[in-house]
Amino acid sequence: MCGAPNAADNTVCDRCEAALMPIGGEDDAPLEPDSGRPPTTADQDAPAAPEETTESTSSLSRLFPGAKPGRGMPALPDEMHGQSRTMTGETDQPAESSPSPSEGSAESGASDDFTPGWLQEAMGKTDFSDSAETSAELPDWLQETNAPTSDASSPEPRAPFGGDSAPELPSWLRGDEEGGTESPQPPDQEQEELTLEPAALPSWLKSLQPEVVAFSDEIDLARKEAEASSGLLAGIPGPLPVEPIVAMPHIVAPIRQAEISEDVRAGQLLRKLQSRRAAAEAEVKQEAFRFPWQVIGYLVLLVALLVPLLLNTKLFNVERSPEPSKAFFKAVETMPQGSAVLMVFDYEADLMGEMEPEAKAILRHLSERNLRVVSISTVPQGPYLAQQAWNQVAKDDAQTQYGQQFINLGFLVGREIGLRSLVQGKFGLDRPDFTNGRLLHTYAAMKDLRNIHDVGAIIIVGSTPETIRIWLEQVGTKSQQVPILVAVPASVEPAVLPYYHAKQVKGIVVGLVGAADYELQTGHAPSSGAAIDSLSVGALAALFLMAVGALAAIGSNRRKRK
Amino acid sequence: MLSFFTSAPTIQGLTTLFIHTAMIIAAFAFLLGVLNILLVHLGKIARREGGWGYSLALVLVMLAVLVLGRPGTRGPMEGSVAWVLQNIQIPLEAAFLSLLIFFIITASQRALRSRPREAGFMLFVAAIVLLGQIPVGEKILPQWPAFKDWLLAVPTMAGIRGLLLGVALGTIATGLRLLALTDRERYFK
Repeated sequence: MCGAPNAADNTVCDRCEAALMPIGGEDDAPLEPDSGRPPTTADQDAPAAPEETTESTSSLSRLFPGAKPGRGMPALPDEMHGQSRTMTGETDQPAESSPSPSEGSAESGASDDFTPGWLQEAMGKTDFSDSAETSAELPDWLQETNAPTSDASSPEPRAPFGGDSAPELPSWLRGDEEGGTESPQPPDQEQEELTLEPAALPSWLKSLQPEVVAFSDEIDLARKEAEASSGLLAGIPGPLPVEPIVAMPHIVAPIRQAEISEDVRAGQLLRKLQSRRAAAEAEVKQEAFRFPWQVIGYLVLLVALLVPLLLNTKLFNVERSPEPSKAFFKAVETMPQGSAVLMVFDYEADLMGEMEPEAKAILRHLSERNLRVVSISTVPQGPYLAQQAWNQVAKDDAQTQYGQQFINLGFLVGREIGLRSLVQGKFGLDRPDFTNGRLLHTYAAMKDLRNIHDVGAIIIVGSTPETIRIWLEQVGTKSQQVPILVAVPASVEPAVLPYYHAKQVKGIVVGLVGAADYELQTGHAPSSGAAIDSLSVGALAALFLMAVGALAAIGSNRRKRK
Repeated sequence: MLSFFTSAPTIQGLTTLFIHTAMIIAAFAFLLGVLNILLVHLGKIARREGGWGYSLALVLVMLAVLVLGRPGTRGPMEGSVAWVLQNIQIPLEAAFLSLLIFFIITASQRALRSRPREAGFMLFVAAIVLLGQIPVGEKILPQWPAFKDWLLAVPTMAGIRGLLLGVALGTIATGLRLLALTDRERYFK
């Protein structure tokens, strides 16, 4: 139990007082290895007792190759337990009490005193390598093969039957050798190696170990593969290994389409077309049943715009004059009578409904102030629209005549370049006017007018922000002493206001309402009262439709969320 | 550009020369445009391309107006040309612009459907400005036009100036790249 040596006749261990089994008296008793010692954890976890028995006796079989473990093998005494456990690495005992392997081998002679007779006899039988009697009993072929094993100077451990005699071995034995069976070794060498051999693990524990041998075999195989065996790099390790397996795409068997006759195919096509037609018809029906909200909205707006114009209503009166409009009026009022004004008609027919009232209101005021108006335009339709506006103003005032209070210079080509030319050069009195084709110097309106610097003010009736910007850049910078006044549609007002705040523009008239306001300032009733009503009612209708649309959109979105 | 910085007679004379040259080129550009339109549509008519009927109408009307305003007459103020302008072109252009209000209504409905919050905010501001432009707003609330003016002068102007500054900086950058020939591969192939 404790491993301490006891006398052969002891029934109780002198050290640990454990009961000792009698030796050789129970040959027929079943083998119970390690009987008498308490079961260890490994013992408890051991799956089966017979396997454990085999494992436990394997160390003994290595120690005593001649002794055959089996049912007839007697139970090990305690001292042998101690040796066995020392050799297998079990350290139940204190370190100082367990002899080292070298000590064990050195003290083997001393320990012979404690070795029972049966064991000494067995050991004597197993020492066949040194025994001449044993050699004599061996067959001839085995004696020959056994002879080199006695050579202790041989550096390599030899196979028990000798490597040279391998071809002479019988086939069944050769097969075992090739199969890697553990070959017995001479007892001396075996004894030395056993002292360094690690503990033998039980089979159930070995099963848990990773297969190191197999892995190392794989590494060896990979190394062999990595070493080139042919070509210029033959024998040189380390070239890029050749992929042993070429990845091939999966071969998919072609799907066999069922052979469809032409009639079946035509039938399928017909069915598909019929289903599409049915879907399209359903969609058309759905569209047809949709209530025409959009058309109703358009009709409401159209009625709101047309009714005031047709009935010539005067529902909404302009009561407020914005500051820029007042400044415009004031600038015209302060101009000396008889002075000339350059009036620019830079709008086209699309915005005539909003721009013409402004132009007419301004022209009327200029005419009443007895100011000469020189008209010019940088857009192709401008000269005609200017002439039309003047004609309407002149119709109301019989005293005004073309050529005296008003003259139309026509179209100025080139936009920026044309304006720059107007600033740099002269009016060109030797060229004809737009309306009559007569030379300019023949008109009284052009008296004392050589260039743009001779006019008292520049009034720009423009429909786009770019028009105002170009005039201010090309003309305003060069003739800063000439005040610039502008009349624009309502949509352009935000773009022009900064020029007014920067005093680059002296006054602004904005849109249809601005024209009516200007007329009010000049003491006239707004000529565009019905248009203002139409604009107001139309704006209210548009706001109403937008509100309805917003509510409908909110309702639609809520329904979609639900 | 030098003429903006100096009043030297030589520079001013050169400037006048260049300006007159450019004006002549611009006037001929008009004529070139007329010829280009004529050739393009005559080609369409000859090849019987899709919509060649419209091309035929355009060519016929253009030639008719040119004949009516031929040299020796009063040009645009000739009675027949003025009639075409007064009774065809002006009503057509005004009618096209009049459709704008219907498009605006439709666009607002679609915007409200796709992005209700943003479109709703935009339409709310538009309603304030719209009511401020017409006498109705003043009748609803006397301060309405003043609020509209503030809306245009401060927030709207801030946005417009930001856009204009961006455009100006972009124009300067493009001009510098052009002068430095950075984009020469794009412009001078």
